[in-house]
Amino acid sequence: MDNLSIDNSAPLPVKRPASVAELTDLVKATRAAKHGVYPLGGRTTLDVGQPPIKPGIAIDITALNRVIDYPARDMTITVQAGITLAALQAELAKEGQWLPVDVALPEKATLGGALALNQSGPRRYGYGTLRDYVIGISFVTDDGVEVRAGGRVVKNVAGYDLMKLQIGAVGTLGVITQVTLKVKPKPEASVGVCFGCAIESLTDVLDRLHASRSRPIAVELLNADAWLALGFPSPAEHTDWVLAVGFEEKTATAQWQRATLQDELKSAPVPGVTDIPDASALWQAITALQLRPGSRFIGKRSVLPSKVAQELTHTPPGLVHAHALNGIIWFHGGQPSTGTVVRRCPPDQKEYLAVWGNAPSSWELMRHVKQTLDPDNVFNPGRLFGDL
Amino acid sequence: MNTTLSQNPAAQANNSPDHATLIARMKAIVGNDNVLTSAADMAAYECDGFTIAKTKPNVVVFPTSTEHIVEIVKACNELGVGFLARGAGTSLAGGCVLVGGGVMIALARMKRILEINVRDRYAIVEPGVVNVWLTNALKPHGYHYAPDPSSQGACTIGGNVATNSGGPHTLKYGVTVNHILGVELVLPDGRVVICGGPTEDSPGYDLTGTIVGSEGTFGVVSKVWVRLTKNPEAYRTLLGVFETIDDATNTISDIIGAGIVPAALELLDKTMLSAVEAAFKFGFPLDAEAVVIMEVDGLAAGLQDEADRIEAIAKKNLAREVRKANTDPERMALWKARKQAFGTIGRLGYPSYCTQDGVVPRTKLPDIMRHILATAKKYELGICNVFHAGDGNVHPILMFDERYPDQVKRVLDASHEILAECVRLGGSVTGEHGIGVEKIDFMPLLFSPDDLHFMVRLRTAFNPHNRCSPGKMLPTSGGCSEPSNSMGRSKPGRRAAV
Repeated sequence: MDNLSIDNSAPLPVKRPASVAELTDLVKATRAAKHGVYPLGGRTTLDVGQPPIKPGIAIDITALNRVIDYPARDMTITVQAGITLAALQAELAKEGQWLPVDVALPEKATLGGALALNQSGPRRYGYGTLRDYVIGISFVTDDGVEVRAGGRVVKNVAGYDLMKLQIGAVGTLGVITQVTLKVKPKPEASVGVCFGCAIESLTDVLDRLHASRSRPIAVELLNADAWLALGFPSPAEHTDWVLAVGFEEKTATAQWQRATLQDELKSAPVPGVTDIPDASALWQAITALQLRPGSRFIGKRSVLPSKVAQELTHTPPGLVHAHALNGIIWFHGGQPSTGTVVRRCPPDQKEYLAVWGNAPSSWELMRHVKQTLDPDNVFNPGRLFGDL
Repeated sequence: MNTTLSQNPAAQANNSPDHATLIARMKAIVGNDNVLTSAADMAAYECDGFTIAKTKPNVVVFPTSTEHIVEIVKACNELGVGFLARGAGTSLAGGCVLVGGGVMIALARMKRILEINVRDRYAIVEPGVVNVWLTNALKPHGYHYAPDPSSQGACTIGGNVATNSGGPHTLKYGVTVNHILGVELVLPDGRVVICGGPTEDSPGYDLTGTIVGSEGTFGVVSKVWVRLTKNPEAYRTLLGVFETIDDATNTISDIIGAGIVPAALELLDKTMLSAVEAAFKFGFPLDAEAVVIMEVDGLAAGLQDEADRIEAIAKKNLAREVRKANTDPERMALWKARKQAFGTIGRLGYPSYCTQDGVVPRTKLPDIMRHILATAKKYELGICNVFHAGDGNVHPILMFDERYPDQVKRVLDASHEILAECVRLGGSVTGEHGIGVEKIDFMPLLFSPDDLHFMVRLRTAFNPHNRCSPGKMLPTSGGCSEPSNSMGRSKPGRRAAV
């Protein structure tokens, strides 16, 4: 039998239900045995979170991967949660549409897993995150029943928004089985520019990007190590920091934006602006850094966007990259400072690291929600709250 | 037509010692000037825009701080009375009806914009801030607050948060929840919690997203962090004039199908046009069956091309004419006519109207429009339509005289048929107005007993005694173990009109 260990846990037998009915039976039986259910998608992010605190089973949802309904003219799609992001995007591409959310390792990562961790990447600046696209959801609860919220229409306020509740819940409130998304027409063009920037000019340059007449969909800031790790050609004149700015639109509009930004940057303290040959590939490559195999430690910090440059004046050694106008910074290496969400570290360090960073003031209320909706602590026990 | 939704004895005993205690407690918290107690003063607080359901609160209080709300909520718990937060009362499904009586917490005096931070794209507002005030305050910065319900000149951001309001521009910009970053919430037991905030990706559950649209059943929102949106550089606003409603709805479907995401696609039918024209003298054609306001916005570069494509699609669908709002004042006049359409309905000669709020997949618009018109005919009701066609969100307006019970019954029966058809076509019974008290009995049509049971469990986590906004959204039946305040309804869709 297939077994799996999460953060050095005792081996968890892996079950791969072929139907939702099999899945509900597994949940009922596991709860009855007072064990835990550890949902698995593409297994790309199992090292995120705290270690399991209960024996139990890992439930692999990748067999639940069908497209249920794709009324392309309504710009919505209903799929099972075990579908990979790549398969989902391939289906949408047939109709010239896409889900404009970057997810690392899309060939492996499942939609359910991406939702559980609220995955995103550079293009969140222009398009938002998964919470802006999920309009319906089904999941298996601790009672071993499949429940549903939302619907299949783009505007709907009937009932509680359990879509939001599940996104980013780290699988602690049930196993997501089915999802309805609103999707977008794929933009005609994806273009971008990159340029070097000295640390002391960062605040000024980021302010200018924020105030630009152009409307970027991504503003990424990378240190030299991170840029090198991408394997993309460097900007004309290299410095300690590189900025990459992207536009996605109708071709004429995208090119106008690129030209406008280049014009605006003429008076800025940046040494030379270079076109990015394949901007879409760059955003994917930057997203993939979130799961870079060579990084032992990966952390993520959130600050106000205006404070990014200040936050970067004392960076630890290693790769650093940021969704600069969202205020989200990724660090690879060094010791995590207070408030950093630890996305990867050696499992033994999780005993003393605050894996989820500074607990927000609503943490107690979140624990209470968890205790109310999963009183026997069936789903991903320990992984979000440590003791719960 | 006053309804007795009350099952709470305290609600009826307005001269009892308990009632005197309640009033004294409220006055001690907020001061005499911030309390209403007479029936005449409280008349406006008996209902919202869904005037078919009314109940009298025991008292209306106007807190001016989070601390006031905390004290009010604690007192309600001690005295065992229900409470409900209210913004401007513009909602349309009875969300502001205080089922069972109790304390109406009117937030209209918490109306400060606390912070505007354009660089970090957020503002902090108190819940009583009127939606359009924020956008007006942002004008010098070149930013706006994107959700713009038609009632934005009156409705409050706190109320928008409660109902997850939409508006004409949701097609491109999303609804309220897409623009709310965080809330300060007074829980139903009086604890204060801050969820979310201006920095992104806070770890743990997205409680903010879960609270938005919960119709006040999770607590009283006392502060809101909202996302600010950069103004579009340019607009192209077109008015398509159509001989048939089918031609208009087919145009809408084709625009979306062509991969264009307009900022707005709004349809007005012939009857609605006659009322709007009488009020605004805009120059709408009075003999056309429908007009569609079609707006694209964004950067100027390439925008005309998009407008040209829309014009071509409209003409292909037999538009008699496509007019253009060429100047900003023209555009503003057109939107004023659209947004104030509801206010002109009185000109059609009916004393009352009921605005419905169904949703269908966009491609099913022709089907639902045919059904709506046939249903109005069947029940011999006046009807007009003005709605967010691009989202598939229909707002049939059924016109009647509420002094005649037979007419009220026909309105409710027709509403029920229309909403049931929306569900049958794969849609929902509310796109932006909420379930409130009006649509509670539709919930089992949309959700299974298991779904509803889970929602009740979630509510219990926030609001265990169901004292906060009681009797909203979730039905009492369907295997749900909640305190009963059932009104013994037999027919769905008419609970509020008992």
